[in-house]
Amino acid sequence: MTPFLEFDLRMIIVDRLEKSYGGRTALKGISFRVHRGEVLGLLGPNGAGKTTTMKILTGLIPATGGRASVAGFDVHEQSLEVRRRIGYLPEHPPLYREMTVRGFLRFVAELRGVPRSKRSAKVDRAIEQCGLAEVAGRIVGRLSKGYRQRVGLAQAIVHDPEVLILDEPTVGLDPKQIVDIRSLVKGFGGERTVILSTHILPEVTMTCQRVVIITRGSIVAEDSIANLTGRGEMGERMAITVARDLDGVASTLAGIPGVIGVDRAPGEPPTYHVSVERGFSGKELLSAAVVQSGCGLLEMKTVPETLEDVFLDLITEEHGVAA
Amino acid sequence: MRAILAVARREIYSFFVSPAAYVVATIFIVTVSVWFLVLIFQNISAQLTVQLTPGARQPTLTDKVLRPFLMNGLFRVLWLVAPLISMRLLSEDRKQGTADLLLSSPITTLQLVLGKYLGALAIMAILFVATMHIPLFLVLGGNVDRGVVFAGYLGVFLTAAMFLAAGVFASSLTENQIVAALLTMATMLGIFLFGKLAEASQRFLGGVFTPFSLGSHLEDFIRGILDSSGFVYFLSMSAFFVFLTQRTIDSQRWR
Repeated sequence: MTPFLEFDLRMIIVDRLEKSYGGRTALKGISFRVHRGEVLGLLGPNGAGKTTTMKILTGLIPATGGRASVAGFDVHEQSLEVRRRIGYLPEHPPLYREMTVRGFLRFVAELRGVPRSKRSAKVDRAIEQCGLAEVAGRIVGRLSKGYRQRVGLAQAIVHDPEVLILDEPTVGLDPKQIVDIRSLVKGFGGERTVILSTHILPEVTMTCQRVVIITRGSIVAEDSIANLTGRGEMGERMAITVARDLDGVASTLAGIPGVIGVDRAPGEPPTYHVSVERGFSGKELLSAAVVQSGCGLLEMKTVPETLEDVFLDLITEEHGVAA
Repeated sequence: MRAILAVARREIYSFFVSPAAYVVATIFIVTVSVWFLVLIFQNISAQLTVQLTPGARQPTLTDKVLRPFLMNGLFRVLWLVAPLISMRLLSEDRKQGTADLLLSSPITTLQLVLGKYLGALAIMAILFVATMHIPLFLVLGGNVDRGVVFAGYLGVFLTAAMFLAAGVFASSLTENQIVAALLTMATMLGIFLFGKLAEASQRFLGGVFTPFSLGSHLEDFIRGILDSSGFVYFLSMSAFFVFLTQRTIDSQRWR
């Protein structure tokens, strides 16, 4: 089988992928790349098309338009080759509840084509990596949700796949378990290529190098975490805390060149959120204006825009357009 | 082949660790055994009757016990046991989400279906073996035709194989096990009734449908006749259902 694209650093290529179910459009032609060894976060609200994208990549459903490839193999034309290279954790971990943890993982290893001689070693490794040693002999159906999720993760990695596709791997877990799973996933980067979907923002910041934000079947942003939080589509934001609230302060500040908007934050002491252009050079002017207005400057600081701000901005924009 | 066996083995394992398996096995073995006892008791009184009319042909144990046992005991209990074995095969995977695991694995749909089917066949074979005390009893304790024992068991097992293939197909259509079982029974009934119609229409349709008569193929086996047309019928019907299952799963995958 010859790959339809030349082998290169791009492990996963998604090219103008479309999917509609009956009349409903789930994906409106999305494109992104994932490089070898990278951990990519697919971030979006529920129903944005994350699961659909993953199901297309794993060959569970066909796209209605566009194409996608994994390791150079087309997900539709060369599905078996793609499936040989992936590990997949669906939204609901696919577990045979009546089997023991070890028995189940042995079955998955066999199903995924791990040769008999290596099966035990690989199963042991997955058990070790996912922290399942103490429950290895127990029946899957009797485990707690956290352990079941880990068994789900173990079945995705037991055959040592090049590519991992994890659909909401931490959903429904307690904070301790979430931390464990995240560090586990983070550790997969480098040797494996990972796509991870989530609707939880900190998860992306903590585990991924790059993020694709998807909402209503379209990509609204694709960048590294650092760029996305630092790029400041809205520029920067300053928080200015004053002693007394005086009329006209807001309009004075708004008049300074480079200031985009001023918001009076609720609560005391009075704080104004001033949005400024990128590369804003009038901080001195700003502080002088506050002092001259006589309302007593207490504090002035630059507030870095969080991923959450970017995310909310992006998806609200999108909703605004759609409405 | 490795993938087929992996799926089949897992299916057998899951069947025998579930409590339902023992209910099914009990139904099977008890029904078959009781039926055998009934035939033995009837035969004891029948022999007394026969002895009162000298000169008549003495019916053998094969006629009086073995054949009715195969046709009325072993075959009839399949109506209940085949759907009970096959109903969970693919429907349970869809319900539990394990279908995502199977379908994202590097195995073809045909391998998956054959694995499931092979697992069901093995379970049925184990149940059949568990009734071997009956023919063994007849062979050792009486004078029955061993050829009929072999051919009869083979014929009923081939029928079971066909019913299980129908069951695999039914289980691919729904995620509800009860619906799958009912669909299997309906399909079995359809096969059976079509066979009856085929036999009945022989006189005026010239027997074009006779090859589809389940009853006449099974009777051949139970008479001790190994006819190739019987093998062709059972194997091709089974293959047909396996094929339908494969197409069903593929159409669900690519929808």
